[in-house]
Amino acid sequence: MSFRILVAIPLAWVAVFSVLDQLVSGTAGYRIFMRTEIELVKGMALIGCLAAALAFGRGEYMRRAWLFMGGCMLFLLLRDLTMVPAIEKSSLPIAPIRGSLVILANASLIVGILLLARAWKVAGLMLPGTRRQRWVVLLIAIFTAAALGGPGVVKNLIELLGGDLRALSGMAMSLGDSISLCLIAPVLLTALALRGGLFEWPWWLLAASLLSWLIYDCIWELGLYLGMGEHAWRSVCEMFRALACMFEFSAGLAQYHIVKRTKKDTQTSTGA
Amino acid sequence: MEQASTADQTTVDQTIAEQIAEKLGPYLGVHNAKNAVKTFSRSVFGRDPDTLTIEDLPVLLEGLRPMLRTLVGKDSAESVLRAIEREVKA
Repeated sequence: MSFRILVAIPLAWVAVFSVLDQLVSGTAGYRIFMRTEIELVKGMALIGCLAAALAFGRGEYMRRAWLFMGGCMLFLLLRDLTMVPAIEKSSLPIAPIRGSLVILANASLIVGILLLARAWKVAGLMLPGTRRQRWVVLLIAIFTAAALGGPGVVKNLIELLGGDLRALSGMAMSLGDSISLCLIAPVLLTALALRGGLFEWPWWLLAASLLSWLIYDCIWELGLYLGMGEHAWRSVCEMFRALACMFEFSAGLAQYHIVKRTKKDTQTSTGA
Repeated sequence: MEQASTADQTTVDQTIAEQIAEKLGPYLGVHNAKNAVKTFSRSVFGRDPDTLTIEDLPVLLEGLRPMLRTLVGKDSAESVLRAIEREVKA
C-alpha cells in the first residue's frame, strides 16, 4: 500500500465536498447534506482510530492512545445523535446529556493526544534540534493555541461563573482544542525525528490533522470578522473540519498498515 | 551472482553498529536509526557504537526493544529484532 494514497484521500474528500457544497447550497437539502457530511467524517476518524488501536496488542501504549483518540469521536457522534428529532423531542434531559458527552469527548481527546505526544519519550527517541529550538517550537504552539482557544475559555468561564451550566461544554471544547493544539509541537517533532522511515507516516498525518483543527478554530473564531460571508465561512470551516477528521482517519490507517507491514516484511526477510 | 557476493562483502565490511542501523533505517529513518544505535550503545555499554561486537548484539537488541514495542507493538517489534539477530554478521 502506498502511503501517498492516505495523503490524497483527505484532499480528494475536500475537493468533492467543495463541488457538492456549491451544487447543493441554497437548496432544501443543504442542511441534510452538511449534517451527513459532518457525521461521515467523524465516523471515518473513528474507524481510523479503531484500526490503529486494534493493530496493537492489549495493554500496549499506542493502543491506549488511539483508543482515547477514537473515544473523542465516539462521544461526539453520540452527542450528534441527540440532534435526531425523535430524541430531541423526547422527555430526556437533552442539554445535560449533550454537555456531558462533549466533556467526555474532550477529556478523551486530551488524554489521547497527550499519550501520542509523549510516545517519543516512552520510546526513547531523540527529537531533532537543540533543547532551545524545541522549546521555541513548543512556545509558538502554546502561544497560537492560547490566542485561538483562550478567548473561548475565558468567555465560557465567565458564563459558567454566572451560573450558566451550559457553558461547561463550551469550556470543555475550548480547553480541549487549546491543549490539543499545544501538542502539535511534540507530534511534529516526532514526525521529524522519524523522517525517511516507514514509521514517520502516522505522525505526519496526525500533525496534518491537528494543523487542520488549528486552521478550523482560526477561521471559526475570525472568519466573520475578516468579512467572510455566512455561507463561505461555514463552508471553509467545514472543509477544514473534514480535512482534520480525514487526516485522522488516514493516520490511523497508516498506523495499522505499518504495524502489519513491519511484521510481514521482517518475517519474509528471515524466511519465517 | 556477482551482485550477491558484492552485497555479502558490504555486510562483512560494515561494523555491527552500521549493520543494525542499516536494518532499522527503513523503519526509523536513517538518521534516527544511527542515533538510536549510538544512544543505546553508549547508555547500555558505555562505549562508542564502532566498538560493538557480535557478542554485544543480544544486549543491544534488548535496549532497542522498548522503543520498537512502543512504535509498532510487541509482535512486530519482536519480528524486527529477530530479523536483525539473524541477519547481522560478525
